Amino acid sequence: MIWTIAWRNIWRNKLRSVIVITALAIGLFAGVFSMGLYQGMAEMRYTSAIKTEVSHIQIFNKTFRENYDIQFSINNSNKIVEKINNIPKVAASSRRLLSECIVSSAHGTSGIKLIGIEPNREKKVTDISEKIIDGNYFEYTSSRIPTIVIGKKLAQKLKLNIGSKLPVQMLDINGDISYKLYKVRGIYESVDTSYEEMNAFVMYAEMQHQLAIDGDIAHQIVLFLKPDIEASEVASALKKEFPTLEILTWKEINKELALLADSMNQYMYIFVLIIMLALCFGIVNTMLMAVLERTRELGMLMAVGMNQLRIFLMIILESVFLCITGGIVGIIIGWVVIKNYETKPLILDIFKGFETYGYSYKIYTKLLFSDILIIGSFVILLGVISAIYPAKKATQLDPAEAIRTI
Amino acid sequence: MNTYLKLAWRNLWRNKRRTLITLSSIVFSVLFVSLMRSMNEGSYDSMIDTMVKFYSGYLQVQDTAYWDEKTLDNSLESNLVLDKKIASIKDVSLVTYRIESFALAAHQEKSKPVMVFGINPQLEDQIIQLSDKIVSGNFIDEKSKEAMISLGLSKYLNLKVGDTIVLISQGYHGVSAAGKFKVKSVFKHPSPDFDKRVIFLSLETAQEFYSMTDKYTSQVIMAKDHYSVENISKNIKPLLPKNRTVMTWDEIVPELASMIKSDRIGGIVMLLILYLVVGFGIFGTAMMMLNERKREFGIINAIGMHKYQINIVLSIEMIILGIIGAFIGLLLTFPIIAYFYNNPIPLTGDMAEVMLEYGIEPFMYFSIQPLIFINQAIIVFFISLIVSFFVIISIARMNLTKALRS
Repeated sequence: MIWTIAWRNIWRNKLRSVIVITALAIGLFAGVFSMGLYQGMAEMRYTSAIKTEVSHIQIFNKTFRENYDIQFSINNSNKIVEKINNIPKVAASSRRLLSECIVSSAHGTSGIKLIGIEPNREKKVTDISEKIIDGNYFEYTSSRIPTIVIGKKLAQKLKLNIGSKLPVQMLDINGDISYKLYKVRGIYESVDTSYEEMNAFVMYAEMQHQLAIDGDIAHQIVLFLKPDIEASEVASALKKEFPTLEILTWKEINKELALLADSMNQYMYIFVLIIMLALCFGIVNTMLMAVLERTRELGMLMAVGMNQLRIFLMIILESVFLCITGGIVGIIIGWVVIKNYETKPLILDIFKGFETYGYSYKIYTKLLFSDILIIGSFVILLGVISAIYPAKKATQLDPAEAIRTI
Repeated sequence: MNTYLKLAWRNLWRNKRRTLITLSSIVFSVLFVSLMRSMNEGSYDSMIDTMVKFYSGYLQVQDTAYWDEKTLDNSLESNLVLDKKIASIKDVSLVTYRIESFALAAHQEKSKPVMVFGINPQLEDQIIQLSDKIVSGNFIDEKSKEAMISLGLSKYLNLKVGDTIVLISQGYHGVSAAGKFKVKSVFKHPSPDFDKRVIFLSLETAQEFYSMTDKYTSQVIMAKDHYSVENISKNIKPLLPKNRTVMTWDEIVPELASMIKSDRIGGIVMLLILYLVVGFGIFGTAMMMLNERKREFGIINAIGMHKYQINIVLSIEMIILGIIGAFIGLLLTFPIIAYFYNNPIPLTGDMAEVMLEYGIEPFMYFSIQPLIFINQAIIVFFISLIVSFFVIISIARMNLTKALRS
């Protein structure tokens, strides 16, 4: 009964209700849309970092990461890589040798991390090979001087070009200093300039030689997973299979990325909350007006026996109905737009020029259904909260006096 | 004109409830928009404030060749007269010299490339607040021949307070530099990156090590906050001799500056969305108010007041409401933001932990720059004017007979 009365009351003043419903629809559309937009942006940013730098899962010897001591390596690495490649959830994996070293040119000296890779395997895991801006990625092999691929930032810092010779100095497995001369044959560019500055690549065999290591060993194995597979799932399966190795997901390795992935939501909820608060005052105003305008009518209802609780409920329901109607309209429009841009990118010219910082101007939006449900329940709550004051005001009316007002 | 003004003013006070409701929608718009801006800018403020303390300082005076080629050969000599002039510039809080270079650090079997800073311990402590971050041992003083090393480095080289660290490097004009230093203390550098590879020596000791008597690589200038940097830089420039240049934090750490820049664009998109929402809120309220008065407009139109005259009165009413609303909004916003400025909202969970790891206090900060609120109040005022334009158009289209009967 009260439900029907409340619903009909809304439509008695069509203009007012339509205005409030439109405001709500716009607000919620904006909320849902920006949520999808920013989630899409965050996802693109961390997937690009995973592709270039981190990979989904990294495997080490249990003690290696404490000091990055080259003694602590993974034995039988080739077999392990083969085994991992056979796991259906894994797209590709690759083994690496790692060492901190010093490189020097006429223009300065720099401490970097040298990574020894097998290009054919590495290409399938990371996309550095696609980010070469000058030279090429280990294509030229028939030379006495081995190839090194460096980042753009390091090239700028040490004033290196394609063809520059670069001496690398590191400690080998026996603790002796070993020098080796490389030639720069590729320069890559990444989103993260500090990564560019700190990481350079050489062939696995050359690094093995410089470190005076022999045998089938690696310091790190990196994995790239097939789409939509949770890294933690694969990691726990790997932990069972290789209990002696340290297995880390990208979230554990790069906390900043994990933070980006997890906190974007928190920030978006704060934004949606601000929008809701702004809407809330609009609804309070409308409901207050609806109550004050109907003083005589409310007095009449009370006089004929409608108790205070029912009056209170009626006003609250009116507001909730308004919010639900507006909310449904806004969320549906938002959802449709977001779905549309999930497959073809939204092109924002405003972000052009920021590509080098990891923001793409082509954005694929993304929104989870659970977020929609949360926003939806926010809306109902919004309706209840904003009607409390006007409803209370209505119950405080004195029927005898209210009836007499015009 | 006077009559219009009088009419408008009286109209506003004729129905106080109506006026107050419209006013409140403007007031709260100012509040929400300002809150959002203040939150954005506040987070940038705290980010900049934390990052400049890690390393760059707000400004640095360097030799003109130093930035492109960071060798000790491009260093400065101290200039007491200049120092005094710089220190006396408004908002400059601290001026100190630094030597910054690389070295290979070794202890027992291990070695690692490190960053060596020659500092004035007392002044540098005010920048980076090192004395709070000491894990073991004591802070060095100006005359001290001992070294302070970062926690990550001490772990890697297996060094404790009292042990001796060996540094090998290249000094001024290519002189070879080698030295033994006793570890006076171990500290935790707030930046995880720096924590792996930083050594602090007193200025005098560093000068001796690098054979560069009375020479420095840079002069770090701290300011009250980052808003004053531009002004300070402008004031320093004419004081400098030809071979010196001043650099600001955004030139020294361009990554941070561009990150903030791109983030700010995202913030502006959200702000535009919020403008849309509050604009529609104001529109809704104004529309309803005028709709209530349709009959009134019909009557005065019928007794001879032209429609354009009604429009003038209405415009004046909206301008008065806009001005008063924006003004009250400003007055209301200021104490609220001042409260949040002094009591930032604490963050919890994983996000807080990661922030702490990076030496950032896990709080949501607000900015109290007056320009933010004033700009927002003005923008909301204009939004309310644009909105009232649409409302007034709808009155101009009013059908007299229908209005009279409503």
